[in-house]
Amino acid sequence: MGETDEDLWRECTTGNADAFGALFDRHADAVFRYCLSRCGSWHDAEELVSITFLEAWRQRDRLRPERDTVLPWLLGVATNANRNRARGSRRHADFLARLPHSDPRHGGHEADHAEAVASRLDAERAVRELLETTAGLNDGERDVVVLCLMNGIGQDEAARTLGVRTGTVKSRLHRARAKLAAMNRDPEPVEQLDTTTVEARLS
Amino acid sequence: MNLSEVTYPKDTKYRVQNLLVQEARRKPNLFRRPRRTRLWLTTAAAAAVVALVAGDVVGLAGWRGGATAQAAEVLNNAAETAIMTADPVVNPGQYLRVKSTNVWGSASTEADGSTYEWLDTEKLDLYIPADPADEWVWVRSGRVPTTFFDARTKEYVEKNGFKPFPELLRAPNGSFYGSPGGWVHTDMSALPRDPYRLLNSIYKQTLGKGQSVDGEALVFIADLLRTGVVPADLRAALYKAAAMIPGVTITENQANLDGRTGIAIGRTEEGPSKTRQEIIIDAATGLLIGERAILTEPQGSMPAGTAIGWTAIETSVTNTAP
Repeated sequence: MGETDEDLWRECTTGNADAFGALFDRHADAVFRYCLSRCGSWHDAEELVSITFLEAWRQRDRLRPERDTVLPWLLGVATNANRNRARGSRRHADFLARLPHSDPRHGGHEADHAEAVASRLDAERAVRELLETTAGLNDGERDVVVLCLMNGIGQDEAARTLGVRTGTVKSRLHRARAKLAAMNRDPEPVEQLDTTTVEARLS
Repeated sequence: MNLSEVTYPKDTKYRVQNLLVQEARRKPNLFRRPRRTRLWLTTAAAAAVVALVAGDVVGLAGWRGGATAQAAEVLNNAAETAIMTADPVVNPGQYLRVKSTNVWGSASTEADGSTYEWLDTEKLDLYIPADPADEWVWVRSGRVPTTFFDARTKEYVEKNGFKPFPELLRAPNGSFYGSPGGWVHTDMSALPRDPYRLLNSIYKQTLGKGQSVDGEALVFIADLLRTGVVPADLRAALYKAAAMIPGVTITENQANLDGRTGIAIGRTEEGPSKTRQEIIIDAATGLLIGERAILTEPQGSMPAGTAIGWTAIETSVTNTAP
């Protein structure tokens, strides 16, 4: 068992860059999935992840380090970063200029490239379709659908991400489900959840 | 297509991680409350003192002077009050409620090197059950940006949407956030109640940390007091120990903290952090009002004299918790 998020974050607040690197390693995938499900573009999501962690480092004194996981807070930073994307990209231009985008056309075998490109396009298409189903929701409802249903984030954690009460997350999810059902466009949760789990998550 | 199978591409991840770590090394940590991070001991001789003190060969308390007479009087009176005023009795089913207003410093640095400093306020409301093994309740308002020193910072904070994360936490034994030691990180039962031995034990725990040996001892005492859960006998010993710290003096006779007025006792530091730790005591009752850290030199947009962090606490007994 390695260091907890709490240990690592404590290190970060004293300026330990390596601890920050370890936290990045731990949460980059989850943050990337969230960014992808927010913006629907693989390329933009890759950038958004680095902007999120840059901002997290700059705001590290705002988080008290005794939390069990920093992921909800990181997703909150990502949420703001996505909203301020145009401005954020400009602000972080010199960092982003050094940022390589993963390009499936370089290196490796031909067949792997084709597969990688295909799976990226698949992912983008799937996310955009999911986002389209949320067109009739307000921003608050979309927030909880993206977090809880598309990313499998728990309601308490989603509440922390959004800076609202758990009850608010519950009621937003409830309203979102009702609206989506009325439109007959209930988004499929990302995990293979049985109905009881979904009900529990929504209750 | 299942989103949960998507991962951040390995090649990008590796490069971004390296860039972030480089970036993090490059950016200095700008503004935090000075806590136990900075090493003030640099020479081999100083290290030898640490070894002697830590090994119980030499105690630092007692032989290097103490607080000024006026400060010692206030502290010793507070100690008397602490002993005379019995701790509130919490009967089964009741809670000890510790309500506090806290101000924390916040700062942000932009890519072009411009910095922004402001203060956040967080209200904490803690309910400790009569039996500590029962469920504790902690209501946290989250950090609300409240104090700005120039219009540009206010605009920056508003633009960037810094917002509080309110929380309602419940945990037996006060093990919030899954931390087994609870939220107070010091084992209070292990601390001596004899002021001299207590101060030596504090020096042993804080030696080599903070901006100076005596300054950090006072910070340790203030940190413990602001939890609001220090039992009366230890509270009295902490005041008496503070009275034995060289350089401790009355820094303000009419210090206002969260609308209450008391005597501020602190220690002026010459170290790099440009702050002064203070304990604020109600002169009339000898009760603790709170603690604060005062900036002794301007920093960014904040003028000297700014309280860049403070906590005011109030304890009571209640029959119900949220």
